[in-house]
Amino acid sequence: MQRVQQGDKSAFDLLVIKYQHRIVHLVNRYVKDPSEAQDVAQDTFIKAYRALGDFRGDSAFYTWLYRIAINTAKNYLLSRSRRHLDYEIDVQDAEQVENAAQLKDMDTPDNLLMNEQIIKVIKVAIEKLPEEMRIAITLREFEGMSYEEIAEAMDCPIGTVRSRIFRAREAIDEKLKPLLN
Amino acid sequence: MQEPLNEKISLLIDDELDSEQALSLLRTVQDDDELKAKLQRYQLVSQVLKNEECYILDSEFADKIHRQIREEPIYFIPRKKVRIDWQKAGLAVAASIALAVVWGVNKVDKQMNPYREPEVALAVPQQIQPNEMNDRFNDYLQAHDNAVYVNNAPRVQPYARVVGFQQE
Repeated sequence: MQRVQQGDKSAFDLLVIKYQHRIVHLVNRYVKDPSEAQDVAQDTFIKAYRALGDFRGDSAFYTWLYRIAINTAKNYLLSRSRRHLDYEIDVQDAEQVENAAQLKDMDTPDNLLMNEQIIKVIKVAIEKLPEEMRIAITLREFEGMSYEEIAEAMDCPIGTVRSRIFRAREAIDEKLKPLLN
Repeated sequence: MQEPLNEKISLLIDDELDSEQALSLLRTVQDDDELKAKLQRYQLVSQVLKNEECYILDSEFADKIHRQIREEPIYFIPRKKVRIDWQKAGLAVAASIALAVVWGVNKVDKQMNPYREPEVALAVPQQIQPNEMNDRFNDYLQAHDNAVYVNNAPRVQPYARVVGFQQE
């Protein structure tokens, strides 16, 4: 954040890379259409960049970004409802439009199937990992433990933890890559 | 060949790189589609393991933001506000005011009475002779006795008593 505060735009790029999935995931709770959710998430980051002057470090950056994301998503839904209402001739349709955000789900059966496959492949890949790798990645991803804590828990050097987690990711990626390509 | 970079991407996801290393890696990743895809997949795996939910981001997602940010002016950010220890600050202000008052009073005093001796000299107790002390004490007793004797209301002093006192 210090680098961003000094005007380093590439440092902000890093924050985008770091939080992009979490923000899209969050926005997707409000905006069901995946492509619209990604647009709203992009707006969130742009708004955050423009509002950097308001960020005083009193809260964590993600907490601040989280609030911007929620407000952006809500504003998006509101403006979409208004836009729809402007063009609707029949007032009776208004109620239908109000519920459109909840009802509109653009996940096609193909997309849903693909997502299910991805989750399944990852789970199977995890199960097939050697025990030490599986424990290391599980402690990291499920328990959110730091490398230092994992090293202590597994009674091994941090370098070994680093290597095990990386090897685990590589093994999973090997199964996942053909599916995504 | 890409293995060390892939390992760094794994560390980046886990926040195990310092900011310099992370930025350096990011620059490398941005110029390499294969690494970019690797980063996306690692993040996808992480997301699925954490939430059991799967969102495949548009491969251009971050790039679109990067391009837009490049066109934005730099927004300077105020420095992080310094937390003030009000207790210490209050003491410092009080001490400063006290010092200024003492200094100011001394200066004004010297201007009004340049030949006056310092306060320290005045503070030395004056030597009083025993006889003088007795006289003063007698004067006090006489005045007090007159007041009680003449009138129960001590604030009203009869003319005769005042004259007598002065004459003695």
